[in-house]
Amino acid sequence: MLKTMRRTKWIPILIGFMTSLPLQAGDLVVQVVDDGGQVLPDAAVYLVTDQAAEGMPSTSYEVEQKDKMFSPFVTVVPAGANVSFPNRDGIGHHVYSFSPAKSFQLPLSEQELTEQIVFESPGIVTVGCNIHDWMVAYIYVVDTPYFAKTDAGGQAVFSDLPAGDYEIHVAHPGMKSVQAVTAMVAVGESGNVNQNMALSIKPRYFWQPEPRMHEEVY
Amino acid sequence: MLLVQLVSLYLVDAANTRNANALIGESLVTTVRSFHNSINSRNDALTLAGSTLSGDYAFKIAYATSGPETVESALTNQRLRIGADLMFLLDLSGNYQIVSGIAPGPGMQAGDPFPFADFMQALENNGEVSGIIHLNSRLYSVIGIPLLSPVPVAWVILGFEVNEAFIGQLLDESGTAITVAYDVDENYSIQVSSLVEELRFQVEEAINASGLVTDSNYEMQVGDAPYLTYISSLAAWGGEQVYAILQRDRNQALAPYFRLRVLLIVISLLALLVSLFGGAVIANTVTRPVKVLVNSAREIERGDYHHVVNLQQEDELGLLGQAFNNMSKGLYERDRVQNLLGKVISPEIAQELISSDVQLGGEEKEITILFTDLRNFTGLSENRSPSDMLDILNEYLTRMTAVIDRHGGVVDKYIGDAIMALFGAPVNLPDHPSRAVACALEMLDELVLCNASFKTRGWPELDMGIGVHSGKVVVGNMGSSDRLNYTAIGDGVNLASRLESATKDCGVPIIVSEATRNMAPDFEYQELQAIQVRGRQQAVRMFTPSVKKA
Repeated sequence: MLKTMRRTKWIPILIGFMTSLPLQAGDLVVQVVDDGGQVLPDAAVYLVTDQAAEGMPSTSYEVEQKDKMFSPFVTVVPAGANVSFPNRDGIGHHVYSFSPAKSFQLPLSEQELTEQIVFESPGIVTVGCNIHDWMVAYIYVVDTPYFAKTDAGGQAVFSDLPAGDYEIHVAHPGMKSVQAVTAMVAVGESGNVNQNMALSIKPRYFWQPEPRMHEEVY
Repeated sequence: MLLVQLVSLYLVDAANTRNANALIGESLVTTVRSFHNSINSRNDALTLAGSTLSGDYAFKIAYATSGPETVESALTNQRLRIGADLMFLLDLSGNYQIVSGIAPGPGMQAGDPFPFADFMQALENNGEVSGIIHLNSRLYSVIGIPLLSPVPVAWVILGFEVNEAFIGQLLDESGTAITVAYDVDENYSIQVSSLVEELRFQVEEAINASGLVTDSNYEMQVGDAPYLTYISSLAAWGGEQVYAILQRDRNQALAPYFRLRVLLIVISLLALLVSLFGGAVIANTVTRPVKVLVNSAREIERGDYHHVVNLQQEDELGLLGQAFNNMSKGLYERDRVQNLLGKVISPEIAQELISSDVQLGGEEKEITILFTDLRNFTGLSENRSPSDMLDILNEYLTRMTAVIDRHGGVVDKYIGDAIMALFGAPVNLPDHPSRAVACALEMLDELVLCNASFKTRGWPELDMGIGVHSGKVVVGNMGSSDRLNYTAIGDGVNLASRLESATKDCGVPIIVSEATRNMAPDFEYQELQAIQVRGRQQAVRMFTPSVKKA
């Protein structure tokens, strides 16, 4: 809950206060800010632990194309997840990615495709549209069942976490560092744990281009 | 005149030179602007072309999936499409990945950092950058843009070498030389120039010796010629300054103005000649004639009426000259007439006539009248020629008139060999009786001298009688208005004449009246027999004067 942040390349990690309550499972609230102190939405937050994890969730994910934008902007999926890219726009999109974690391209189509891509390798996948330069989405593939994405207020909440030690990883499409920022935290049997984490972010054009949808010189 | 012309020539020349210098200066500034515009528009073209490259899907695939040789060939393909001299791919950390267009020198291998940290910083902050970099001893005008896939995955640097071809495009104006120089720690080197090598070397020397001034017109001595110079900084990275030096040989640029100046001088000289000529003409046709007229006026002042003004010109001055001559003649005539008048009627009467308003009529005045007559004149003329007689008469009259003059008398008229003289008119003389008596006596003396002279010449001796009377008479202009005579009339005149006539019979030379005797008591008188005069009741007493009383 420290208000001031140092604007440096090094990531300052601020430790909040901890309350320890004798419960079985606790809640973890991670608050992510940028190096200007502003709340940071669309940050991927995932927890690495030595404890035996429950099974990976087997939810399907989709990143749709609508109004010439990908939605959602950031998606966090577990390794091995299926992600579909339905085109709900009525005009063609040519979805592709050259990211090492997953290189793929979907054929240029105006149809709503239901083909699913499986994302096995952990890492970040940057997805673009070849026809519309500004369309971009990010998929974080993580190797843990404990993952979330910060909301508009820059918060990610993990409820009913088994008590234990966790390494919090925070990543954002615009983060300056190559690796995720980490912090260790211990979750008790019960009670809330709050963690503040800050990321240095690059200029926006690096990770979220301006849409050019209207009459502009292109 | 000459001074005015010289001053105006100087002022016009100064303004002309100032204007010329200002115009050259302006033209340099304009060329600098077009140089900057040219670089900017090239950079814009590069950015446009580069953006198309970075949107090229095939290239993205190549970059993502292929080996460095493939990527390099794809990059070169793009570079050749654009026509750029160099094209690099740098990773997001700013290290070389692919080099196309120039031979990779030392420090340009894959993984080596791109050595322009300020350039990279600007590129990362803004997403694009442009400027000049000094690489491998060459200057390149480059831009930097991201390779998007779909977000920046690498940096693309592309651009043109700053060489003769680059600057050659800008030499649109005749005579403007463009030089591009850079400096590292105040040591200036010329990279490329449109000047010949020797001048280039001199410029380099000049700026290393005395530094350079940017953004203003000034003169740089290049060899032996003054060059008007304007230097502008070009955006450059890597801690170097790069300059565009625009110059014009001032003398060459001013050549048309020098020609204009020569023309001005020629025109001024012509104008000067014309004005000198004009002055001479005026002197001849105006000044000299005026001088001649002034001289003539002075001559006339001095009384020389025969001075003729000879102006042989047909203009107003010529007319003036003629009028002058006419006036001179007129004055001469008038003078002559006046002289003549004086000769005819004695100068005093002439003066009286001239000075007063000549009218008929007179005034009553008491004067003394003196009459003389030659007793035997007619008889003498029998044996002589008329011209001889005239000579004799003239001499006699001249002598007697002189005597009358000496005594203040005025000859009224000559009646043959008789003289009528007035004393006391027109000029007032209070002692007119005494004067008349003295005059009469001296006339006798003069007669003696005259006769003596005549004798030596074989001329006859003369005998005269004199009558003198003083009284009130009327003196004035008598006759007709066109032909008048200043004279005296009245009884007194007649009496004087009668007295003269009586001198022969009485045997005395001079007879004076009682009135005269009474009014001139300073002489001895001898009374004579009184006579009867017609018109008078009483007998008139007569006296003859002799010597003046002591």
